[in-house]
Amino acid sequence: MGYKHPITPPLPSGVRLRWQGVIDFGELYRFMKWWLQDNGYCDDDGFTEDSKCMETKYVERRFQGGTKNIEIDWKTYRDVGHFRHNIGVTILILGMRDEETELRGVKRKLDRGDFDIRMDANVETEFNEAFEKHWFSKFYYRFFMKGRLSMHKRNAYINFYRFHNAIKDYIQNQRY
Amino acid sequence: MAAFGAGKRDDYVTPPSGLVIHHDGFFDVDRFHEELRGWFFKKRYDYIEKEVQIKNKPQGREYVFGMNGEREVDEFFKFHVQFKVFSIRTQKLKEGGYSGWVKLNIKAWIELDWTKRWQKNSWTRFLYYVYVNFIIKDRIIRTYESKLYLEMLEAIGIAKSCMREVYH
Repeated sequence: MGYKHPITPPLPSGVRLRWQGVIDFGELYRFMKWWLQDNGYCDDDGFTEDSKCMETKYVERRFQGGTKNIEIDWKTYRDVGHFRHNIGVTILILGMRDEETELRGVKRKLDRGDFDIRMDANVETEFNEAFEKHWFSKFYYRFFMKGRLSMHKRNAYINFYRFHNAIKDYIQNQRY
Repeated sequence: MAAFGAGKRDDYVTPPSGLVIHHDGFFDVDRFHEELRGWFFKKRYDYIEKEVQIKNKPQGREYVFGMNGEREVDEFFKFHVQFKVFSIRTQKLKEGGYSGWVKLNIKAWIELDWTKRWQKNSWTRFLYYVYVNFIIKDRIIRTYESKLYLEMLEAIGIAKSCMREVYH
């Protein structure tokens, strides 16, 4: 297994974004997936480079009265040379229910609830088995790759906060 | 251009995840569809309309188009241009055209050895690797990649001509 160099606090605490109120959750979900897709973290169908589904968990619990709780986990990455930029997303929604609201003069069915999105990011090195097996790979990592780690951490940090800000902007400015 | 291993045959001129254009405002979906299709035919691409989805929602229509074009340059090279259009909150305007939020995703790549003549065994794959990475590498970059890139820019120009701000 590779070494993870965190850029944000790791999950389960992570970087937190909480929204209590009304939102079109279906649109937000799609927007987040599109962002990851456009930035090379997953393909059109939500699969990562090694054909694994990025959605590792989707649990929907329905209760009496039409409310539901949703838990979603995403784990995705993109490989940049010998470095892997990981992003993890956890979405927890409590007491979500449909609500008809007027938005920009149009009556729409939106979702009211307590939306809690937590995200983390890290840069992973030596994720290939080749790095563990061969002495030359270790040598290469220690003397050549390590110098580039800070640059990759910086890039991953910028990308992560672009994602974070895009979600924040989407929710606050009701872009759905 | 990325170095080609034995199995890799796609040479992207855009980032592999594609170029993205966002636009919130006027977008003439009908004209875009018509003109881009015409462009594919004019440039002798085999045009495939992979998917069309239209959903009617209270906030406006939602469009999803997938348009692919592929052109055989010769027995070794094939050009691919792919457009994906997502449009939400699309409402028809009185003066014609539509307004809404649009996202275009454009990918363009060259498929090498599309007939798979060089992929049969490890020896031919090795020859393919040498041929692509040393013998014709310069030709791929200077001739084919630049040609496809310019064609893609032309198609993007058509898409952009169908967009503008909404004037009230």
